[in-house]
Amino acid sequence: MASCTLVGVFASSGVPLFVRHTGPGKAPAYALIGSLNGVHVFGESHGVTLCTTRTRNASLTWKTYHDSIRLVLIRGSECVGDSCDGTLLDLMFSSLVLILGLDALTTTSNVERLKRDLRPCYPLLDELMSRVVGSEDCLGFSHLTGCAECLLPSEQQTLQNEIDKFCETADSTYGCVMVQGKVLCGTKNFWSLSHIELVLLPLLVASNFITLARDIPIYLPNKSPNVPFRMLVVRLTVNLSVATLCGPTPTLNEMIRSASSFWAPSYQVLETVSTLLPWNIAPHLLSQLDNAVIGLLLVNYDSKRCVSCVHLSEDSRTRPLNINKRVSALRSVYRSVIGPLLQPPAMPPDDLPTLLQQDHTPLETYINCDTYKVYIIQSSPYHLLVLFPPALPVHIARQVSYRTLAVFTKGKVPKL
Amino acid sequence: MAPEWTVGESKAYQQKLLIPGTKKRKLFGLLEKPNLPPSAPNVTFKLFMYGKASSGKTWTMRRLSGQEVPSHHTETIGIQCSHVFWPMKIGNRLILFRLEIWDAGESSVKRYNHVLPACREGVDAVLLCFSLTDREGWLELPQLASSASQPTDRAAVIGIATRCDQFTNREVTDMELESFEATHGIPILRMVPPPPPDDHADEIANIAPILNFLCKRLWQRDQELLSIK
Repeated sequence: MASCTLVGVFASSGVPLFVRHTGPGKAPAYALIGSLNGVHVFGESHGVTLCTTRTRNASLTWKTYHDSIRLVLIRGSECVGDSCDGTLLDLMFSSLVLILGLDALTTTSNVERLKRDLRPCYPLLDELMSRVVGSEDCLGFSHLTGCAECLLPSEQQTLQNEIDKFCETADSTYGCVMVQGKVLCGTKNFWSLSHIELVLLPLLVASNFITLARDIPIYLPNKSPNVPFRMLVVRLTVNLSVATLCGPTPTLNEMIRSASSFWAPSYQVLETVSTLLPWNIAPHLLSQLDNAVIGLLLVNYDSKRCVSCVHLSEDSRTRPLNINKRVSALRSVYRSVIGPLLQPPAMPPDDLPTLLQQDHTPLETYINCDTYKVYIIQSSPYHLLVLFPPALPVHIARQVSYRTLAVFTKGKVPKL
Repeated sequence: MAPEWTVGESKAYQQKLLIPGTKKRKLFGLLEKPNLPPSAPNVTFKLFMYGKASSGKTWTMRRLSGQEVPSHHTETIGIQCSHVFWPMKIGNRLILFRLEIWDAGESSVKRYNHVLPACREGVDAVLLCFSLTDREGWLELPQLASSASQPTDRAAVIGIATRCDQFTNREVTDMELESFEATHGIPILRMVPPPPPDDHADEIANIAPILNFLCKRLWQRDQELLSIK
């Protein structure tokens, strides 16, 4: 299993701020952290910016934010560093901004205090890192796609009307309903949040699913990095929550009371929606999928949403891959294809060397290996990745993939 | 007030708090409650966890609601609120207590001035949380107790001692706890870790004395307030 380490240092003095480590092995020692920062500083003093390097069993990425915090990402048993590591570091820095605000991060000179203040950010960083190493309970793709992870219920329109009405009563324009960190529906303003915000907010909500209600002061990394909002989260059923971004009013207590009376009549609908798990898509869409499809990931960059489904053909006797392997297959194909070959995703890093030429834009491709085959289609604004068993002939995989795309995009269906 | 009620009966009602077929406690959403006879009235009380940073507030909250307790300390961001259902017979009446427990992270309290008032508004009881492994925190406890609630709230104040099982690190003696209870008139509940999940031990039987005590104390306070009015 891969391991992942994130080191944060105070850029001006090189004092380590935090070290987070997931996976086998130990977190790097103090001396090693010093050297990691040292090589970067050495480069800087010679007018060179060290971005990334690879050793025989790890890939390392450095990035300095606002001349104040330097993050170093070390991915063990991973020899291929790619553009995704830079994007991941951006997400990690943004999770610090989300909780502390940009000013508190970049203008402080009190290192000890900053160290203490950074502690509440750990759960979010740890969640991102367990996705990187492929932990069993972290099956999401949003950190790669830069889009909010969604569910496609058949009751989409009903829920949309309800959340719009609820936000009006709750004095907020940003609101959404989530099931275990997957967005069910959101207001228009909610979808106007940036890609990074749409990835991090659901993660923050999902990071604590036990409490009934929360009032979390947060900063929006792109929209409002210095003025805090209050995110009010109320858990309506076991795994369904409603989250709103508010100003000074209403209080958490008022929000609990109003959510209780507003959503009570919709209880049955909310209960049905929970049965979408773990498939994530409405039963009538599910029934249209071909039996050969064992997993899929559909991303819509325009609407900043993505949906994944890996619990397919589970009852067939020749279960080709377990769920965890399907997720890691889709993730690794996404990393190697989207960006380097197909049009880069919505949040490309600034330094992405573009391999694309104007006169030749690939629209589809496939990857075949011992244990699986993945067919990838680009059909603006969608990217669709379909996972098949390895034995399926490519021309059939292609046909089935196009049919699968049609299931989600043609006709009167819940739209992604 | 008749605290005596048969154990068998309480067991039957407590079963409704569990995930069927297991001994794990069910998580209820805001729109849900345990399936008890509709004749049983619901009473909601607001409790506020008050204590120093890392004194075990979130741990206690998880423990009372029967959820997995965190293995290491993470600071709470903002306010978090949980509810715990507890069926209890008072006299001959079955009553479903709903304890709404409010907790706030120390740094959020300091940074944002809406946090503390929101937690204190309309509070019925303040749970004074302190760790037995922290001498300094113990010495500050009387001061904490006096600032725990506004006199107008008439909130019940109850001490919650955490890390009671860490005997080797303990820095507060039982005698000191007893003398505190006597001089300040604040009862202290000692929290112990939940039974390990693998040996099928009864988590609910384990926490029952604490929840029974809290509910009785809140009910008593209600009766006293009614008689004053």
